[in-house]
Amino acid sequence: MVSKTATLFICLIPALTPLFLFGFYPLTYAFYLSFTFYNLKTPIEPYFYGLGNYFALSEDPVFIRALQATGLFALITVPLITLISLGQALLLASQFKGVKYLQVLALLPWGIPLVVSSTVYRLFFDFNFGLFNDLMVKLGVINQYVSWLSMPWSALFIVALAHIWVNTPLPTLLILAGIQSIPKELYEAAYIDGAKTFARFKMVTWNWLRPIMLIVLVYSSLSALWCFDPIYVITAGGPADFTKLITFYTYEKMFSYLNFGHAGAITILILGLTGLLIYAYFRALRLGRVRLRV
Amino acid sequence: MALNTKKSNLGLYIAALIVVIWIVFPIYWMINLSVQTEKEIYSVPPYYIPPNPNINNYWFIFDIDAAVKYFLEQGMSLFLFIPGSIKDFPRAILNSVIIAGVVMIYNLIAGTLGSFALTRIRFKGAMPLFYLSIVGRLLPPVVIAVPYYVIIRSIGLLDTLWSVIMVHIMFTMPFTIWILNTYLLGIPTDIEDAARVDGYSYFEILRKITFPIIKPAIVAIAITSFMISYGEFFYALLLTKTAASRTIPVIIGSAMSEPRVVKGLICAMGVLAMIPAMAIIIIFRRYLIRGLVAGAVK
Amino acid sequence: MSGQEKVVSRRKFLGAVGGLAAATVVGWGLAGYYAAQPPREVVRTVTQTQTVTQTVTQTVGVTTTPPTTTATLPPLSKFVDIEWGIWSWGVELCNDNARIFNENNTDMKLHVTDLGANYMANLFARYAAGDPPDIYYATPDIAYVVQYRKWAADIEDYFPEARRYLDDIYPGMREFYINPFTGKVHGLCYWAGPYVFAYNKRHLSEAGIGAPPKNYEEVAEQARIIKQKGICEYPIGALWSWGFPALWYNIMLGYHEPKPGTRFLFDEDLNPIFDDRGTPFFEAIKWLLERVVVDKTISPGIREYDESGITTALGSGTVTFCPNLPDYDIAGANVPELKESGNITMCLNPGTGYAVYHPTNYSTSTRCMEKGRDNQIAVWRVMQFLGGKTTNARPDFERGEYFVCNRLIRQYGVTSAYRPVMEDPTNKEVLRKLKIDPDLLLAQYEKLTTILWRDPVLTPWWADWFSSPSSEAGGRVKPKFEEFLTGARSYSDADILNFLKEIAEDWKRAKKEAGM
Repeated sequence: MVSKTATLFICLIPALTPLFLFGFYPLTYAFYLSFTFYNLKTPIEPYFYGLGNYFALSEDPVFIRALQATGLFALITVPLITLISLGQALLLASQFKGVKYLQVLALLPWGIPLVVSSTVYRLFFDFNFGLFNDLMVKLGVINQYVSWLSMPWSALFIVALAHIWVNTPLPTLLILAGIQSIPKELYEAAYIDGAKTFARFKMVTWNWLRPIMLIVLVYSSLSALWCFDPIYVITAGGPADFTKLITFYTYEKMFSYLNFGHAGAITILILGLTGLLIYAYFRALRLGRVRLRV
Repeated sequence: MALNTKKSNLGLYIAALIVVIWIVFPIYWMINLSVQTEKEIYSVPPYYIPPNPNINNYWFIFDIDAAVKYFLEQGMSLFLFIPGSIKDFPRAILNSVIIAGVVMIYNLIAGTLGSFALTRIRFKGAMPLFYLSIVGRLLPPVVIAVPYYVIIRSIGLLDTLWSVIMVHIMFTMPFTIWILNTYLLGIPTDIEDAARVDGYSYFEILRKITFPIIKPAIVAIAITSFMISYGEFFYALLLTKTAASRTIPVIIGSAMSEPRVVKGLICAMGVLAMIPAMAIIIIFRRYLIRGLVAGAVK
Repeated sequence: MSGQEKVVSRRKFLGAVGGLAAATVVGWGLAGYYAAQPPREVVRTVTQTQTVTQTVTQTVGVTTTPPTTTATLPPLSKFVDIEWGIWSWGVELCNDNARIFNENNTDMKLHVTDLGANYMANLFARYAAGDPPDIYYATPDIAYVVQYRKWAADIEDYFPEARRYLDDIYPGMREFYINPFTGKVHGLCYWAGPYVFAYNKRHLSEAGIGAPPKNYEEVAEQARIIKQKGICEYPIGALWSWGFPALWYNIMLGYHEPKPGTRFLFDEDLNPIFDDRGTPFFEAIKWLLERVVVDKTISPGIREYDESGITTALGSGTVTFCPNLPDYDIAGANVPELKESGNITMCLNPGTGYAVYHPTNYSTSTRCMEKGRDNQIAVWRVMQFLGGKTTNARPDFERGEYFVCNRLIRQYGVTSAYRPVMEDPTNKEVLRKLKIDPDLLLAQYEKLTTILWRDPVLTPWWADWFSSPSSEAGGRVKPKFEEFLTGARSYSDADILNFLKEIAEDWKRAKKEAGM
């Protein structure tokens, strides 16, 4: 019989090796960068810079704008992804003819590389040859073609749409699996208690789904914070920096401005932000701290 | 399911219709563009239904010589609309499937073992390890390209499938562990505790008791890791150099940046790129349902 | 939810936080280790740059026959593998060229790496990681940065005969084959061509206009007529994404003839001189904004036009004029699949006739040169095959032909900086077949100015400020200008002036950050 320690090692090493090798070396590197003056476009050698990069960022209007854009983007996508996937999952968990096909269908957008789906949405909203303009004209909403990608809010929504479309299947699947694992007795008990549909949903489904909703919220927030491909393909940060999300800005700082110090500082800030966000979700869903059965 | 009553059936169908439109329309549009010629794609107003559907674009992807010949016959000898990289497309499908498949299997095995250890074996440091496993993944991928590249180069794996596989494993593993942990924690441990008292080893418990229960979650993480790996673009581009290791998103991304490429070709490639992912979804759906049934009995 | 799980105790939680803190400390220690590593070699200051640039310009003007040395390359002593980094354009052709090269050079191997759509980012990532490709494309802004970092080597340092190629290059283009820091030839030509003024002649004749515009006032006038007659809703388009700087220079050049020492944006000490009423930049902005706001002949959606976008828009007749189209895209706008095939043509840049151009070179990395003499020879053989004269894929300066340059122009209409390539009768015939009028194009070749890249010099932060002509990312001026298009700024003189003052401040800050 394998000893407990040996079991632990056998179980943990395959999972944790890649994490530590590829997760913490870059993290260390980002830490190092964030406290270093490291700008390859100046003749100045890299040197220890303390919090200099952070101060420089706080004075950078574009950084503030990128933060705002990311915040707006998250405010649009996170609730939408959560609601759409919850709705889809509830629908897919119901029983009606053809639901099995729908279950497969609902997962399809996931199999499409984000690069491709972004292209499709870009063609969709194309100024001259796009479907959307034609549709709007036919419906009489507008009387001549409009460049949707050149208006700040519509551009942001188009990027969000491309993002949401690809990012709802996973939460849907998670919530669906969660709903299907709800013991029937719980519903029956609630039914006997005379609870109405909504009350039943709140009492049983919602309570049961809470930890999964947490994952969904974290997942959608993280994917909003990391959204890169749609920006790159659809708007390149425009118009007027309105859709310049923090990742795109970091990318610019890193590979266009070659300012590795700033890029590192942004990374650490995003890291902190993400940590805070996750903590906030834990609190909001009243799960206490992570529940580990020890 | 208690949600199902006859009264709400009509509402359900309406909701289903909306979902179908939301999902299918962009895919339909992609297919629609992929069977049109360049001239038809760039017409105002756009064609909602392809006027003369033809599968030339699909044919060209697999037979670039035929494509060249076709354009020669069309009197376009000097203008090849075909990006050279698509010659590698069949190979790229294979690469993508191999990479995503290995990532998926690794996640299945290592993720199950890891989260089992973190939740079912009592030891000091389980929680810090859990946190640490997630923290490493909170970095936005774009920033850490340079250190990744340095690591991969220093272990001599550049331009191999392994380089992409390893990075993708790193991307998917934290999420895998988290999802599985959550599932495991939601399941009472009475049976496992009893089995432990009966003298079963941890591995026996995992195999005989825990695994059947968490099957749906495992299916979910399997599909997740497959899809994340399948669609990843940035690192696949950075780490691969030749046709031997390029993946589908890299080929499509490269083709898209050619200024004079037929948009229909890109859409055709997008449609083809969907097929392996679709197959995975359909195959795993059976297991998903079966696993869910098994889980629901408990 | 079963209530069996205990909530983790406070102590355990603190333990976890402690663990994280420990990890941070370790990270910090490692960071210290890295910080203590020997510093990189010192990079020259840019003050030197300017003087060097000036001497270079003089040298180029004076030098007629550069020193000739022996051109026969010694054989390789070992098998060498050369990596050629390309962007995703004409990948098929590049692979085919590599195949031809390899068939004729069995003692070495050339292999192609596609650095993708985000070429600049990938190239810089490879450089920052210490593993650059051996030979790759460099636009002037990329070339400037890699030369500034000393990442790129000058081929002339190793093979002085490289200088002989300057004679074949159009005089107005020579400057870009010379490293501004050292005055040496750093690479050969991949492609070079003007940003031309393209227009749709069918639209013009339908509107009853006899001749293409003579100046930018006439462009505006003709656009108004075309719009009034309902031929085209927004007749003026432009290559926005990577053509942004060129757009402004072409408009400014339309009004102001470039003379030696003409400066539009900065003086010799790199101080902004554009931030006032009536400066060329001010007038160019005003011209464009009046078309957007008053005439409505330019769509606020002009920012959607990337290279593919503007080419198809021209070809399908949704725009009539484009003041900054890369020359070879005329062929793209005339492809038989598009509605306006055969109608898109070019004229000299309205007004003075001068236009700016885009030169791209093959550049080689210092790292490759440090690998040894065999690698140097191999790279030079590759570079001459790709951008020089060869016979059977072997360097042959005296009798060889510009094999790859000829292929590029014959297959895609991609033009070159070499006079023998541009004036070759076969190539001219091919251009004509591609619907690019070679005579008009060559007339524009005679009226080119370097001012886009030499106003007065490039700086490392130039592309970050103006927007890069080789990447979608970066740039301060472009997003700020787009505020006019979204309506966040009005087009009044005061607002334009404000805009200019703001971007001048951005420039000064960038300059200060760079320690100048």
